[in-house]
Amino acid sequence: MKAPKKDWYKLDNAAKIYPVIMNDRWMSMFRFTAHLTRDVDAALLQRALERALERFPGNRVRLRRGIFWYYLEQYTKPILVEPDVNNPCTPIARGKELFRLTYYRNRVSLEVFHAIADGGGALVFFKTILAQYIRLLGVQVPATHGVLDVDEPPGGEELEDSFLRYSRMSVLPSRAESRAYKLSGTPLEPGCIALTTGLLSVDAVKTKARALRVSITEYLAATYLYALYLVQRAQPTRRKYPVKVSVPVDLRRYYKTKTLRNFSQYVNPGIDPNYGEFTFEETLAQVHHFLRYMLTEKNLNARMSKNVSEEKVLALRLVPLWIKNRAIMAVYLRTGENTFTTALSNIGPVELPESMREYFTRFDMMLRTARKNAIECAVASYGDTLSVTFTRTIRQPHVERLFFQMLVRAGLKVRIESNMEG
Amino acid sequence: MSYCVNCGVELEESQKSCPLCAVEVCNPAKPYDAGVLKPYSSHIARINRRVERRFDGVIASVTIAFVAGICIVADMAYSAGADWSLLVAISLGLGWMLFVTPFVFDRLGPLWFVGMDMAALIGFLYGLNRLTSVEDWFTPLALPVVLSIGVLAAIGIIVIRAQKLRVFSAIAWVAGLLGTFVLTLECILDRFLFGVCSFDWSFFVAIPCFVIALIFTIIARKVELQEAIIRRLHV
Repeated sequence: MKAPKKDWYKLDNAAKIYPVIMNDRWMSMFRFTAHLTRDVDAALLQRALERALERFPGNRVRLRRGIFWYYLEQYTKPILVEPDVNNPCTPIARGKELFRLTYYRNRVSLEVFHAIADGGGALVFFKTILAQYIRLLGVQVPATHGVLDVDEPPGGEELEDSFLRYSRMSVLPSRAESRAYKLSGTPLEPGCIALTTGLLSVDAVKTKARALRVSITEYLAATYLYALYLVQRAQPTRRKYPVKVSVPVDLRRYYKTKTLRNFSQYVNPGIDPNYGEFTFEETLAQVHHFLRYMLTEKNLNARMSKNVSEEKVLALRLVPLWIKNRAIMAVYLRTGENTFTTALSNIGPVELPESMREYFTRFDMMLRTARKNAIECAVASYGDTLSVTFTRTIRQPHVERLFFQMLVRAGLKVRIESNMEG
Repeated sequence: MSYCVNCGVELEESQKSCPLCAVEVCNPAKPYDAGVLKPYSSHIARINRRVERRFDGVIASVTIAFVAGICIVADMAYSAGADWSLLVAISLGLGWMLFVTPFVFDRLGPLWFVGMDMAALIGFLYGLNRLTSVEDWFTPLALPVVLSIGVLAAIGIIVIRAQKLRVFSAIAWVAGLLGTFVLTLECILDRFLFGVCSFDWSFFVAIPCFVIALIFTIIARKVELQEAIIRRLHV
């Protein structure tokens, strides 16, 4: 179904929070990086972006304030590719486009404000730009493996709010969760961000995870949780808080939707040090069983329905935006970021059409740290390369060090790179 | 390739020390080469400093409130009631509204500021009238003039923003609104001074304004003409 031409879009159910909690120094953003086998041609990349953007009208937008809600308005000015920077995911200026396409040597990166898409939707956009770039190099690339056909008109379903379509509104569980441990440390200079990427073999990690009868995400999440647990244990604080890692779940796996906007949920596996000393094996078992219990269609639909039900209350919708902003911020601080220590997002294996594969060596994903969290982790894999990227806003790299040291002790070979001067 | 002797991880060639534990790389077979290309750009993007401006605005607000408060207290302490200090207070209030609020409420659009500035100006002129004169010049003169400025400014902003006007159209609108304002001003002044509204000197200002508006409207509609003007006048 062809999408009707629109000049503006409502924010989807999950996106409504992001404009409210952003400020001049922080926006909820994430980034994909593709490593090519040769240096990037900026002029070709610009042409590829312009062509791909015709297919993604929902991404060529800017954020505007309405009386009752924020909304997305078509952005008519040219969008230019930019040279990459050392501190990615800096906030986008007001009134500008809500993503950034950058290049540096053989890398192309797409930084996206979460209000327009989640990882699943943005990856389709990114792969389509890359496919178009490879086509401009003279290679035939079919529109398969998540690459959209730029000659086709945008589909109506691609811009839909799938939360509204699939929530059943029957079960409304409480969102309340206990406060989680917050990592603290000496802040980096304002605007700076430390990135540490560890590269591993997918096969080696998969073999290790299978030996422990868990998935790769469960294994990495448990290792991450345990590293955080060890850091908290080493700190001389009187009160211990549960260590929880927020794991986003792509709902496209559960519903037949083509949406390119936000359509994900999250669950927060964790361990509570007040229950006693934990071993890594116990942590792994806890994460494994928690995720298997939580990641069911029924459970995720109930959580999604809770958010949608609140959006549908007419009395709340009629509250002016400036009042609503304060209320949403208060709820977010209490029930949002406060309930998890950090996030671990695994976008999974990046699939490309056969003819494109030889031009790429690696894909990375990174998350901008949440407003009050000092560290986040994102995972992506391509071919046999698993990339684990930590984003940090404090000086102390204790968590990454413990995380990668645990992987090395488990017999995995890890190669490290960082944006910090070493 | 080099490994960190402390963490056991392999390090990227450009790393002089381990990013995890800061232990220096020591590989006699492959000494550190500062010329190796780094995996990330060295350029650091700056973040705009709007937050500091807001903070400055709050500090300025507190200072202004403090000065106004001191004046009122001093005036009341040394004379029977507050008189001159109220003039200081309303002047500071007007200055605060005109110059400080854009920093404090930096998310508001220009229409809000027009509304707030007009309200502040009306309040200031009303206070000035009450404090300095027994004759009422506020209602017949100051209020209509300020309101007409506010309405015309609001119309200009709405039209320019809504139609996303380019430079030539914007100039045409500004000239047209200026001409309208001059006519309105003479009408208000005549009614205040003579009791009747008649147009005299304002025609000499308004007619050139309307002519300029007409010329720029025509230019705005003719793309070739615009390009010819830009080509010949480019600096």
